[in-house]
Amino acid sequence: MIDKQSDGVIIGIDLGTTNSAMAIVEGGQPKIIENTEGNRTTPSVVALSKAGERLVGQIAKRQAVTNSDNTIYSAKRLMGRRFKDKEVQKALKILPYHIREGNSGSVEIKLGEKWLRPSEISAMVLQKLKADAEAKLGKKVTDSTKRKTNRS
Amino acid sequence: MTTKKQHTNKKRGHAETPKTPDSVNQLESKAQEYLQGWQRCQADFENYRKEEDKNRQLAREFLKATIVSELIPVLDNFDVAMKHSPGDSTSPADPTDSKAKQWLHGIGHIHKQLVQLVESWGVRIINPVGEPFDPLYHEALDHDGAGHAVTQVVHKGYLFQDRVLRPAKVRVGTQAAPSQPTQQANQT
Repeated sequence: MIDKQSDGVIIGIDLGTTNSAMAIVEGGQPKIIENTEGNRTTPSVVALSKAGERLVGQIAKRQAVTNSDNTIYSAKRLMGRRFKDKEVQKALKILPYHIREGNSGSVEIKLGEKWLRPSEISAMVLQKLKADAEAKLGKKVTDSTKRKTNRS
Repeated sequence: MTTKKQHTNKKRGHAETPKTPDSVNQLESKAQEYLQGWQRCQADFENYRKEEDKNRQLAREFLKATIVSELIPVLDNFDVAMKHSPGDSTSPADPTDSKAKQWLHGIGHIHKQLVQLVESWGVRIINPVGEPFDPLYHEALDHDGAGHAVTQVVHKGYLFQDRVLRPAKVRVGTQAAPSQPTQQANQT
């Protein structure tokens, strides 16, 4: 009989404001998994290149200077907040990308021609982590547990 | 009085009684079971051996990558030193001039030797002056606001087995820098 769990694997994700990381449990102990670039942490950065290609992680961070309008970082800082929140108003002054008030007072970020919610930006980071974990482990990730904390 | 040997013979005599077809079948299935177990064990061992070979190979590559990563600052310092070598600044009348030039020439050779050593390990040097900026291999430190070409390489990048050990740290813009004194490295 094939054990259902052996088909897939469960990963734990630490979704950080600046960097994110992923881990599995091996022999009862957590073990950090390296991303496809061979690093234990992945910058929580999403960008849309001039060619219209979506870049996530280290690669997005490397081109930030050349493409600041379309390089989104610290999106987690805006997650779950209203546009009029003090924290968002403070972030508006320092973040180089475009932010606007969305439906019912939410926050929206411009990436290319689209306006996205901060959670959609973070989802792109999570997708990259999941894809990297699958490539590294050679197994499909069927479930995950996420840790998201705000220090401020 | 029966001896121990006689007792054993009796036991053997009992074991050598003719087998019924059922017991033969049972023994055959048991033998088949043991054979399959042994075959599985052999296959598991073969897989383990292959996995161990692969792990050893990965460990060797990881070690090389670690050594090269630690050598990168040394290579950077050599690049900077060669860039700022006095060159022809000494006076031709100076009797120490030719000696200084020879010494510099020797240092240049040591630098070249070090670069050749890391290249022999499969390391490729990224020195992309004039090429389009590519965030897969380059990290932008500065952008003049227009253009998308690498105008200057501040620090060369290093690639090992298609893994970027360090991206080339570059300036991006429209015009190429007037000169790049360190051209011995590969263009990628």
